Amino acid sequence: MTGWFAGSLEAVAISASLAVLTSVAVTLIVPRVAAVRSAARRADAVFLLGMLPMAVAVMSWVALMLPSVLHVTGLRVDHCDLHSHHAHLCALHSGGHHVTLVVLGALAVVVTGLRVFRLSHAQLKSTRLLSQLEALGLSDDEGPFPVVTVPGSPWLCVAAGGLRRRVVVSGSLAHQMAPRHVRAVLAHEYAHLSRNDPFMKVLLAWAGLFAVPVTARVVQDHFADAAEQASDAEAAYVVGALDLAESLVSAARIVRTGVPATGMAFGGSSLERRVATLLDDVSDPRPSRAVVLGFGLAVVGAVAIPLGADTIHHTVETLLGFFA
Amino acid sequence: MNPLGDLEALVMDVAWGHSALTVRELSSHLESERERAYTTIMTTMDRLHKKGLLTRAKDGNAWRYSPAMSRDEYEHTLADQLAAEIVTVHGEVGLAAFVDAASAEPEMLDRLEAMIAARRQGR
Repeated sequence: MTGWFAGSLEAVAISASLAVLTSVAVTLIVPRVAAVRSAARRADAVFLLGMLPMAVAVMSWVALMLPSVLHVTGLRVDHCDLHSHHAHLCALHSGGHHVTLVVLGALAVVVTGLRVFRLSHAQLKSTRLLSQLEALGLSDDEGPFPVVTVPGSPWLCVAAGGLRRRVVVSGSLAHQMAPRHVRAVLAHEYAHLSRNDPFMKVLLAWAGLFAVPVTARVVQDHFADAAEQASDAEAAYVVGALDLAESLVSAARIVRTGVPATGMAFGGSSLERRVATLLDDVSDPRPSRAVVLGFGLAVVGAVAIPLGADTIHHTVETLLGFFA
Repeated sequence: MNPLGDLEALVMDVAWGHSALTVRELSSHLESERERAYTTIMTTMDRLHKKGLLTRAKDGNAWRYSPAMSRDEYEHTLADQLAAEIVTVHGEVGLAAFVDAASAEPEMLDRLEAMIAARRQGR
C-alpha cells in the first residue's frame, strides 16, 4: 500500500511538473492567438490551449501508473527486472522511491486540493445566488432559450448554465432600452448560449486547476474576450452591426449609473474595441467547435496513451536517471 | 438580507395582503395545522421583525405586526443584494455578461455614439 501511495505521488510530481511546463508554453502562445481574424476560431484555439495543461497532467499520470496497474490486474508482467541500468518509477516495489518526488507530489496534491475547494465553493455559491435571484423573476420560454427577467437595479444581463441554458436579465435594464436594442442584447446572449460559452468557461476554470494561476487567468481573459466578439459577430449577423453597437453603448450607459463597486466587468471585453470591430464590419460569424474538438482529442488521447504508455514511462525514467 | 424560508414566505404573503395583524390573526389566515401553531408563527414573526421585514406596535397585551416594506421593495432590495454578490463571487463561474460597464466613461460612450451615428449616416 505504501508503494502505491509513494508511487502515485511520484507520478503526480512528474505530471505536475509537465503541466507547469505546458502552462508556461500556453501562457506564451495564447496572446499570439489574438492575430487570428475570426473571433470564433480564436475562442476555440484559446479553449483548446487552456485544456492542454490538464490533458498533459492527466495523461502523463496515467501513462506513468499504467505498467504497475497492468501488472496488478494480470494483463502484463511488470518490467522491474529490466531496470538495473536507470531510475525506476514503480508503485509495486517500495524500495526505490525518490523522496523529493514524493514530497513534491504530496505538495501538488495539497495545493490542488485547496484550489478545488475554493473553486467548488465559488461555483456552488454563485449557483445558489443565481437560483435565489431567478426565484424572484419570471421566465419567458418563447425564444430559443428561456429568458428570466429579475427585479432590481439594471445590473445584470448574463448568459448562464451548461445544461439549463438561459439568459438572466434585470427587468429594469430591458425596460430602459429601446425594443430593437433589447433584441440585439438577447441575440448576443443567445449566441453565447448556442456557442456553449458558459459551459466552456466552467471547463476552463476546472482545467485551470492543473495550470499555474497566471496561465489560468490569461486563458480565461483571452477566452472571455474572444467569446464576446464571437457572440457579437453572430448577433450582428441577426440584428445588424449598428443596432448591436448601439445596444452595447446604451446598456453600458444604463448599467454604469448604478453598478456595484466591484463593477460589471466579468466576461465583458473592452467596449471600445467591440464597438470598433462592429463598425469595421470585420465580424465573421462561425459556430464554436471547441467542445467537439476537445472531446475528439480527449478520445484520441485516451486511445493513444495506453499505446504510448511504455514509451512515455521509459522516457521519464531515463530523464530521471539524468537528473538523479 | 437573506431570501425567505418557506414559513417566512407564507407569513410575509399574509402580512403583505393585510393591514397590521396580531400573531393570532395572522395564524388564522394560514391553512395547515403545522403552519398555524401559535408559537411557531410567533417565533417566525419575531425573527422577521429582527430581520427588519416586519415592524410592530403594542396593542393591549399583544404585538401588532406590519410589513416594513412592500413586496416590490423587498424583492428589489434582495435582487440588488444577490446581483452584487453574484458580481463579487463571479470568479470562475460560467457567466457571460453583456457589457463591460466598469471601464465605460461618459466621454468614451459619447464618442462611441457619435461614431455609430456617423456610420448610420454613411459618413
